[in-house]
Amino acid sequence: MSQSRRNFLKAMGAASLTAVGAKNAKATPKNVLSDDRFGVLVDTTVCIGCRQCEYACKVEHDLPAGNIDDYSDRSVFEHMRRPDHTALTVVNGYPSEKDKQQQVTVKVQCMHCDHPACVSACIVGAISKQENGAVIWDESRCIGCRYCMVACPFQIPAFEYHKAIEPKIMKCDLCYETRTSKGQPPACVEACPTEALIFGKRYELIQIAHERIRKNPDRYYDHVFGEHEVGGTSWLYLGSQDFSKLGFPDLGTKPAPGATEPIQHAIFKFFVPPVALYALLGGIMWLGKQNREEEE
Amino acid sequence: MEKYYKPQPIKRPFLSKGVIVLLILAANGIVWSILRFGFGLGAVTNLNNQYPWGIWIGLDVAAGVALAAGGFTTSALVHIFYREDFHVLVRPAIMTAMLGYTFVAIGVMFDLGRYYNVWHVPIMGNSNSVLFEVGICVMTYLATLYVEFFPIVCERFIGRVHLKGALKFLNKPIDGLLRFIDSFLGKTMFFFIILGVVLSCLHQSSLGTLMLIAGPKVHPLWQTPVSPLLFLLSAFSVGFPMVIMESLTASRSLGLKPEMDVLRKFARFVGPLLGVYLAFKLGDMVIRGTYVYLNEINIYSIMWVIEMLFGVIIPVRMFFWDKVLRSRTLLYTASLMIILGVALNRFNVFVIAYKPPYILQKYWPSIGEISITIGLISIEILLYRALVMIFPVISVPLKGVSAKAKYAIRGVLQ
Amino acid sequence: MKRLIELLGLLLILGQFALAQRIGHHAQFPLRCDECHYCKKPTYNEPCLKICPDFIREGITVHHSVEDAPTLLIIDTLQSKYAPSVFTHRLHAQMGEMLGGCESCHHHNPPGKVRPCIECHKPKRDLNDLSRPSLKGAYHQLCINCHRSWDSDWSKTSDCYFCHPKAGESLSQTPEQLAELAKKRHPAPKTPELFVLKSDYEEAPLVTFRHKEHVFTFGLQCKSCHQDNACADCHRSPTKEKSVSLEHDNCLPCHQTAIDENCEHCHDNKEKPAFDHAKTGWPLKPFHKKLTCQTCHKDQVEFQPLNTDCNTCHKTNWQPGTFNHSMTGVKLDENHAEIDCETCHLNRKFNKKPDCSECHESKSFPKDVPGKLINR
Repeated sequence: MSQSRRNFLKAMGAASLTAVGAKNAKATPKNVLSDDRFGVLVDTTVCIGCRQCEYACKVEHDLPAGNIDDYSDRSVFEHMRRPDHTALTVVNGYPSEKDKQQQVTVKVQCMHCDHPACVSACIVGAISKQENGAVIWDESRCIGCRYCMVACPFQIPAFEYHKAIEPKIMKCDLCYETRTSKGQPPACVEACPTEALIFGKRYELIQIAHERIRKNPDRYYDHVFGEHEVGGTSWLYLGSQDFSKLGFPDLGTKPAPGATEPIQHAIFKFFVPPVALYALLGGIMWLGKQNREEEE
Repeated sequence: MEKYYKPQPIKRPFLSKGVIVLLILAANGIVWSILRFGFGLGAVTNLNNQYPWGIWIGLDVAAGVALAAGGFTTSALVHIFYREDFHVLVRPAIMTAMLGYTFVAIGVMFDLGRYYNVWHVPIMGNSNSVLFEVGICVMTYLATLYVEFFPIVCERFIGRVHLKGALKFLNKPIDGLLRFIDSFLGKTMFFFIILGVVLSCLHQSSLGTLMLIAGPKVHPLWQTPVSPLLFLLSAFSVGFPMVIMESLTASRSLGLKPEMDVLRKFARFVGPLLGVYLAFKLGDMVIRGTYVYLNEINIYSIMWVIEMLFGVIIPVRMFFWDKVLRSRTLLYTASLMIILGVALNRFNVFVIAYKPPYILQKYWPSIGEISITIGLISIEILLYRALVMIFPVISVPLKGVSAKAKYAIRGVLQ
Repeated sequence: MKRLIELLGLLLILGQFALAQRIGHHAQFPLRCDECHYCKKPTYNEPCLKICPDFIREGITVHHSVEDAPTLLIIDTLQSKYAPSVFTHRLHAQMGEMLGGCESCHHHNPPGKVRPCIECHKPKRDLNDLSRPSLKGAYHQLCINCHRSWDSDWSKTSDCYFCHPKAGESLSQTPEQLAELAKKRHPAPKTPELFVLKSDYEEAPLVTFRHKEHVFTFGLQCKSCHQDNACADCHRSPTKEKSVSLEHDNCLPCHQTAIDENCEHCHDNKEKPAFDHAKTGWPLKPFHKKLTCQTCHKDQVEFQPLNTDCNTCHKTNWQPGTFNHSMTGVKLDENHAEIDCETCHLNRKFNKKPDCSECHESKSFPKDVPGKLINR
């Protein structure tokens, strides 16, 4: 009996050691929210749907861009399009409530959330929130599980299903490598002829957005989409009508990872529940063993 | 009269009509697998940017993990709660769990776009990720299951290592090694048994946390913060029916007499466990007021009603009914209903309830996806048949032979 | 000496007060700091002032007529993808007259004459002042307001080439084409006579709006009412039915529509006749009918009866030699032409009936005329 009991205690020690070791091995992804982080303000009342941003984005990311003249084709607005592996941003058209003859055109791309669900979800930490606001994907880590696509409340990440080897998660990276890490505006912002896209510090953009609403209450719907949605996003939108009529999902103001991180941390962070469960089961087992031995 | 049971390799011809059908299905799955790995996910599946996860995750992985719960529930019952009267069920349960988890891992590899990077998970893991918790627990538990199965391998080969030709000189060292491992595991097995139960509890529940992050994308009938608890409870309640179903199927297929006495006693646990699950499931519904969604007739409400009615409510009643416990057919039916109900629950949560905000293209599993899923299940069943013929897994009654009193996965029935 | 020091001291203290008050005053402007300063803490050395602060409401103070506006502007400051654009400035100014006036484009103009866009909107975006578009953004944001109405009959397209000729280094238009463009004028807009509108005021549903009268008699300018209109409001495709809807707000600047008792001023059961000044007791004929309302009813929103005494408006000291009496329709005969005004027009009350009793015992105007009636 004493032999097995000593073994048992030894094993218990080993169990708690593994637990501690596992805890240290895991790197928590950084989510540094700098006060000066960048953002882009999209004023959909100024957007004319010229789709120069789509062209510029493709050129910047070495995607087949085609002829620039084809981008003035407005028939694409007849159907909703979504970003995919061929286009990291697309412009969609929605009927305008104010002027029946016109369309409101809305650029769609990764919103670069302040508390991104994709970053929280990614199993290997391949997606990260950068200090300057960008949410970027790291090819060298990704295992292609597509959990980020499940998690994203805006349904943005796209996957290269047609590739057998090295398929990529494709999404707007705010031109992190080539531009915004050096403080330059993303390619789409630079291409926008009407300056419907403004690149700058996020807090300043929020001020400007509210200022525009204050000055032109008739022109704008009194809401800055992205200021509080899912805990705030780097991309902010102004619109002339309710954002649900501009193709935006109705999301709360709670960060998108929601309850998963608290639940996860309750189970995982200090390893108390698993170890306690282990100890409890071990105790039951030991008592049972003693009972049996007494019977014998 | 004392009746001793001893696990033994079953002596039967491997091929049968059913086996041939399974071989054909498996071959079909393998052909599609070659296409999947040769030409990518897009070539074989109907997955798209709106529906990134399909039946491979919903059935092969999520339902697979749930249905492999027989392993940890049975080993907890027998080894931790010392119900040695169910000892005969442990080996098949552990082996099924081992096979189940192996095929969960294989299923994941099919679904991963960059499957060759799967080794990133343990070294680059993101502790905020629920999927990481599930992944690491499944990996560890799979290893634990292999360890738990290893004494059976030792038992089969100790004293029977007969390599021929040039490898003849290895016979002795291998035999010695097997003996050493067997004695080592004999002393430390309890550690792995408890570890297996803890790991199972962790990842069975975390599997329920997995879809919480999708928020409003999952229909409110299934999207609930207590989802991890519901997943754990349903895993508890599906474990025993799974063992019962396997036992009955195997005995029929292998021409053995089913151990109805053991199974009847075993089945008495199912009713209360499933009842608790039902209570939590309905309580959650009442508290969150999601019953309003049952007023509308759509795919969600219909699937929910099927899942609950045929998968939970009717089986609960059946398992509290003595007639069911006595009848082989009824017991089999009731167990199968729970199994299908829980599998349907996983499928609902991961596939049916998932409604992305922007749908350009609906998801419907492709022939390739279905073929590979069926192929994997077929191979799993074939492996089960092969393993019980090679290893001493299923216990058969022996007269006048006493079981060795050894702390290993084998037992005695009074 | 002591007194002098005291005086100096007092002056110093007062000066401090004055200074303190000035600074205080400046900081207490009903403005937010960032309307003028682009940094958070401006100092005297670095005031970081915005070029054209948004709060300037005064705008253009030195006005000129549309005909004096520049005819063509060649926009080539930002030339990169396209050849320079030719902007028919005078044509657009003329259109602007029908809408918001020069200010519809030259907004936030500092007091004085009209300034070109580039004075505030620099070719490169100022990252210190994100709210101010760069020149490119400013051009497009102004132009698209009208030009994006792509299905109207005057602008069939909103694609880039409508304004920008396809790539090329130099101007794509020939001098002849430019001269042709410079001559382009917007045709004079039609001025509808009247609208009879049906309101939901049941007791008197009809509202007669005499549009022409408002323009020509009341002297309103297009921009007085149409400043918020867009080109497309008139240039709808002809198949679409034109309907006019007026809100009370449209009339509010002149008519006190907010006051309940005034309903019948506009609302009636039948079409209202044109406004007749005679009904106010002051027929405009023959003296005043060519004048606009505001000439006499200066600075009045709701017109009030004026003092009918001519001296109220006419400050001229009329004398027999300086006043041409024939204007009134009565050519004085020789006898009366020399008489002082006051002899007949007692107390110089020219609006009252002339009095003959000073010289004639039994004569009275208009039965007897001091000369002869003439047709003016």
